[in-house]
Amino acid sequence: MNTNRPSRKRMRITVEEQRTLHERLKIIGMHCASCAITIEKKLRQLPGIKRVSVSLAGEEAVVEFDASSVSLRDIVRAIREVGYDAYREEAVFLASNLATSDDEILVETRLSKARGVVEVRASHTTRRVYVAYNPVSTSVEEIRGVLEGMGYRVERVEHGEEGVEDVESKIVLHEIKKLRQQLTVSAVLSAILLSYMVLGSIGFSVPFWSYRNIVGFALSTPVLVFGGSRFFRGAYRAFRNLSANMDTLVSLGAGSAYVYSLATTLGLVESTSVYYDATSMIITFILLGRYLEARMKLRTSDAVRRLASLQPKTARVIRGGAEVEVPIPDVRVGDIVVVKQGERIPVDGVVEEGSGYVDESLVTGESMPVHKKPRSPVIAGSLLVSGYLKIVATRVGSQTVLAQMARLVRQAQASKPPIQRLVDRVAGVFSWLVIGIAVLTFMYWYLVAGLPLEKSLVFMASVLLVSCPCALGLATPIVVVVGVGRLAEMGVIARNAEALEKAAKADVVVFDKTGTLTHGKPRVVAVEAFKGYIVEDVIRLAATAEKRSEHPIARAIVENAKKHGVEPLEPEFFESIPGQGVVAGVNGKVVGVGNERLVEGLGASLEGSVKSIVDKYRERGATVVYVVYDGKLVGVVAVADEPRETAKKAVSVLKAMGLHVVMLTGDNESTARAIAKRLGIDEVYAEVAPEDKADKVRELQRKGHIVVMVGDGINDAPSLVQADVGIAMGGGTDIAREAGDFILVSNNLLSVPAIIEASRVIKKKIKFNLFWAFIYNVALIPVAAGAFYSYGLALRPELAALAMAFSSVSVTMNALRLRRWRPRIVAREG
Amino acid sequence: MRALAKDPVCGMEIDPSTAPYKTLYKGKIYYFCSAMCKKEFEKNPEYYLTHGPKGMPGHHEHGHSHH
Repeated sequence: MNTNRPSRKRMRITVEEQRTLHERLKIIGMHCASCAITIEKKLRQLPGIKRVSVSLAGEEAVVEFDASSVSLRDIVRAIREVGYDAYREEAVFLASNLATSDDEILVETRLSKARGVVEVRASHTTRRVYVAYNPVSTSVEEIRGVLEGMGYRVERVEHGEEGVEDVESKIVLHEIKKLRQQLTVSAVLSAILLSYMVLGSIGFSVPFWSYRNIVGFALSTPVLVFGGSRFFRGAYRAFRNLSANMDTLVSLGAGSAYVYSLATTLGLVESTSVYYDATSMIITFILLGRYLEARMKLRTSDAVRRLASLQPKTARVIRGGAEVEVPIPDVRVGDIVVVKQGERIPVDGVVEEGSGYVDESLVTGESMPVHKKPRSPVIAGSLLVSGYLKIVATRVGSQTVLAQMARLVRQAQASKPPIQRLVDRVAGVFSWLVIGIAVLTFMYWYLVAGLPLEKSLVFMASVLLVSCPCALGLATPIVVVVGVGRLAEMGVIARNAEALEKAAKADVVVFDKTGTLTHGKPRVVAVEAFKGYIVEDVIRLAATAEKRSEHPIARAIVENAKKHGVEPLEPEFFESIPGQGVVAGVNGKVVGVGNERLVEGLGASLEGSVKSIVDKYRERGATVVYVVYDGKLVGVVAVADEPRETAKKAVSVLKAMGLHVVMLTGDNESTARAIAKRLGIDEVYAEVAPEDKADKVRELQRKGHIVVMVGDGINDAPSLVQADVGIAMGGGTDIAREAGDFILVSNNLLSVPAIIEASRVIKKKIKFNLFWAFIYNVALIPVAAGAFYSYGLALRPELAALAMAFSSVSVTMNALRLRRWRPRIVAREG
Repeated sequence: MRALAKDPVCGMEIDPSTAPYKTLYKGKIYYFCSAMCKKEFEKNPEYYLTHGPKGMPGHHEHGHSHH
């Protein structure tokens, strides 16, 4: 296909351009033949697709595509766009020498081209490479091979199933220890060499002064070899992958000063001075910067470490009638776990026996201790303040909510906001640009200005050392790590950094009503019967129809029957019709419970007298369902669902922040308006069928709004996905499966304004950091290159190195200030 | 296992026990392969009940938005 290309100079690239890949994907969610057609059609619209066949029976798609114009990621995204999904597995690779943002870019670009890899996110702050892959065409071992082939040490592979464990801090601690050793040796030798040189040159009699070059060589070589080894190794790794990074610049800068000095010492170059002291100081300063940065980085992931520390290492389990203490990995689902006062609960479970107050604040951010009695659910990591509990374990190890939270936070911390992609592109060429400027600087001073070799080299080295792709690369991710961690401490799990960026720009917040603004625990407040039926009949018929339904209103109706001592019948059949209600068979006749559309669908008529009764309840904010039996409307049930305590304040805070608040519900218009009025919401979309909720969100987006949708992570999944930012109410136990960019673990609605405020603050910090890092380079590179040399202003290489180290440290410090951030508006309004 | 139902709009066979899209009309439950067919039916149920299935409703007008 490339035969008409004029040249084939870049063979490697050309080969890649011709690469045709063949992927077999397992499709999730196909239930009829039109699905297959929809998927095929969508995929054919993508560029570079050569052949597609989607089979309904096998629930799989076979795609042949040109890897240069379309990626597997695009294909999976397209499948998701039409409402299906492709099965992927996930693995996290822990690479201890993934040290800089340049490594991230390298790993991401290289790995995303590997066979079967759908998504790659590398993070040098957590040293993890997250990979989503198609298990049909590749494996963890294969991906690991690619990484190792690039020179990365894969210390560990975590399959999606990792428990709560704090490995990265161990790695960082190890790194800090090593850095400290290298720094100490380098600093001591540098200090000796510097004082020797200074004292000697101002006339003190120091030993071996006539052999000072040899002394310099002897003292600086260990610094270069021991202290500088990490830079040279990093540079070599980059070189092997044909890229350049921070380490390349440091190595070239320090290396050229050293080589020049060595050449002078050996008499190869005619020169008056050597730069051994400068060389060792360069290494020392940069090590100092790295050391401070590493120590601060340790604090950036405090949030995850704190979550991890909540997990007890052992549990007391009843085995064979006796209490035995077993390590957590040995606890099984179904085990009875005993927890005493003052202990942390080691597993997720349900109270079997005993009672007590449990403090869940560290997990959910909810401050009040919660009373637990038999059948109450408890979560691992929460603290039993008082009482005694026997718990049946329902989720252990990596399945607990705590473990899922830690995992999600970690993944989010490794994700990149869109702005970072731009920065990455800049950073990717930045090092080469600096090397270019350095070479030009040397050529100008040596060849044009006619400066001696030594002076010209000093300018070159300064340029290499002052420029800092590191600060640029660090500016964004470090803020993301700290910000996501801080949110987690407040009971908000952010799932990706992109959502943070979008939330900052949001102007409309859409709340689902039931279960979001309200508790989602409706109670029956009134039952009315018509047409000769008595209230008890209506209660029984309604409870019979709703008996097998999972809907909260259904549960309220069944509960109410129980309360009145009415026994529901066994329905002959049962069917739930989303957006209308339920129908069931009783005594060979059809009974239906639902809204107006159900009444209409069953062909029953709705008299004016019933309407006025219904309106009365709706104006009080109750939801009314009709009971239809044998084609006749026989009664109505009014159900009330109280708003959450935090709902009203959350709405007022959001409005104060300048956001427009909308309520979205399938409920009846007048019920919805009554509730909206109580909460201070001006705009209401009522009577929206579940499948149309996403359309409503899309409608708002078409009008140019950036929409935040707050709803239930399971039932409102389509609208959460459609919105620019989806916030899922937690309460779910399988938080990892829920849709949404954010998950509220605590169900505190005040978290919604807090998320938006946090996003704005985070965005501001990122911008500030990027600005600082960028301006820094722009300002200092010309100085280092000697642009102001004629005014007597120049930057010695060791000072250039010091300035560079400082810039990374300041970027990190700025991010760390986020750790103490509190939502200002929420606090003030409270 | 229950008998398969027919999508009154596109004519496809649907398994009622797993179909997520359905509607009540004149006391009878109709099943659909997609939200598209369901909407189409609700717009004009009598038309489909008297004329029979008409195939997939125009993909072009309901096409998913491309971002």
